[in-house]
Amino acid sequence: MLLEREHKSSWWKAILLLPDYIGLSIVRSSEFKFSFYSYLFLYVAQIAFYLFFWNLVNPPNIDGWSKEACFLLTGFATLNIALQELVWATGMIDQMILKGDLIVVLVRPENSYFGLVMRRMGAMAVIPATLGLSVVVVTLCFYYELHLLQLSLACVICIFGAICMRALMLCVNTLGFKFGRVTALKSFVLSGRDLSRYPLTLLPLQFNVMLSTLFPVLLISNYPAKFLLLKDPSQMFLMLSFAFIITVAWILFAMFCWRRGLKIYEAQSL
Amino acid sequence: MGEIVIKVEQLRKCFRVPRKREEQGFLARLKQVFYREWQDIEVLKNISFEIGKGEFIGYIGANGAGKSTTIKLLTGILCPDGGSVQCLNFNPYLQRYHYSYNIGVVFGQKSILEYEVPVKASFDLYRKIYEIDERSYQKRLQFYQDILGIKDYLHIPVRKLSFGQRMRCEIAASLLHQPKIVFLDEPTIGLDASAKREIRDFLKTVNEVDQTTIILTTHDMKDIEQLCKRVIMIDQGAIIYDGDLDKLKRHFIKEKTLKFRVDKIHDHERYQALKVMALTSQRDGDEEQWRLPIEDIQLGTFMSELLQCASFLDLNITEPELEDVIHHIYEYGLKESI
Repeated sequence: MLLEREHKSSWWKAILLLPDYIGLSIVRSSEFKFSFYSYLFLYVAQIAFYLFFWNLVNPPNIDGWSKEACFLLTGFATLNIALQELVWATGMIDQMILKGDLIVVLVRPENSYFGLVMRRMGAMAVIPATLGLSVVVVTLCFYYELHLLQLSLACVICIFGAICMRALMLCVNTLGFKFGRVTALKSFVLSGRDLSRYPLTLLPLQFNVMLSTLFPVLLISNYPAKFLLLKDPSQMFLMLSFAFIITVAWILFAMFCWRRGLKIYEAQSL
Repeated sequence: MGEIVIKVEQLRKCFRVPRKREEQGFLARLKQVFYREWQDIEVLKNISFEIGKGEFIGYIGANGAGKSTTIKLLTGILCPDGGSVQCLNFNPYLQRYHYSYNIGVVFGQKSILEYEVPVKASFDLYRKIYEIDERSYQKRLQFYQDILGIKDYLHIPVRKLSFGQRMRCEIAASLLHQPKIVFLDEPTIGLDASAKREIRDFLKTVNEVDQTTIILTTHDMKDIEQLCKRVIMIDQGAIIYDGDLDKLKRHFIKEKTLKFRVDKIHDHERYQALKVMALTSQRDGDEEQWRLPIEDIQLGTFMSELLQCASFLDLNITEPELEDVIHHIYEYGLKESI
């Protein structure tokens, strides 16, 4: 008894299913109206608070970190956190492991991890992501120059940052296969994410390296904001390459952890 | 048994669990925070069986016997620690993605439908996940609407459905792609009698019409009695019975109970002689209850003699429920029960 017909590969199917997952997510988000509007209000309030904060503290303009650069930072931080909200379920996997909910995806012809995350996609996070991007664009128009290519590449670095953080979160969560609850470690990673709202490149080089590789919080909003301040193309290329290598490394490591985790999965539920 | 679709050989699975400490008291508990001893529990002990195409199997056992673990191994969720599993020529764990196109799984306590969106939206998603062409999908959907009566719920969000309605939709969603093997882990748990009956009828139809192999795990012996010809019974990780359900019943049901209300006894001497043949006799008001050993007496002859020596207001013969038989086996083991 052989396969009757060729099926699509799991990754290709995951990409083809994206519009459906987005559609489902929009229906789901609009089902509870109060939750949706309060979620948007939270983002607007956060942006307003940080812009006001940078106006108030006036950064010392070391290494290019002026008030305007911090506005860019705020815009990228919002964009980045919104992108992470899109795949928020990465942070729930330890709960799914504990409750035995993982079994539902494992018996379907879906990419087990991608399917799990995409089914719970928060597509409405595109709205705060647009808000964040608007802050960046407005700041560029008022204080700097708007170069579309440079802005696009900065957004790519921002997406890399979001991917790295979720990959780090996934690695922490896969510890749930072995240890059950990993709540404290998750809080630790999330608190690292909050650091990305501040100009971390002011810190010594050792911290810089650590925060952009081991805990890729630097990649989140510091790098894209810094990238927009660069003038030299070779430096831009270097920064982009570095962000790409770190992202690929994190993705591969997260995939390795996930597969190892599935091997020891016991599927016992609470 | 026709074409073999599931072949399990010497299957073994262990789970690692913390060892319970003998010591009591504060210090012992404190020590446990920093240091824990582990032990391996063998949940499945080298089990083997084969299942043919179109069979309806009841996979039964007490809580913790290893039923769900077997299902999880057969569906590729868990990685076996020893032995081999071949389902439709796939290794379920290693070829999970391609294998899952051919199976349908219903976990009675887990939902596969999207909670906040209408049922139809989940069905549409599954159509794409299983790569079902539009025509087959519509045909299948129509079939389920007719037989399970889910037409009225298709456009209602899952969270607003009753448990029975949701369960019907869950089963339909799991079978949309017309799987070759269906695994049902307690599909009727928590359902009322009429919903249970509808789901049983549905499963029976799917098994007969599509020649689908169905493996049913349940504690409801009515499900087993009405649906399964063959049962596999598992106890403490080992198979203790694999065979015909009727044979199991014949093997264990060794007595019948006769309940009656006498109008008038014509031959007291003969009546007493028949009463002595019963294992026990009880009287509750005007109702007599005799337990008859069916291996020692010819029930037909016994009844005809009884009808000759007395006239009755009411007469009823019952045999023990399958549930009692199974309970007895769980309690005392198969050998002791024999």
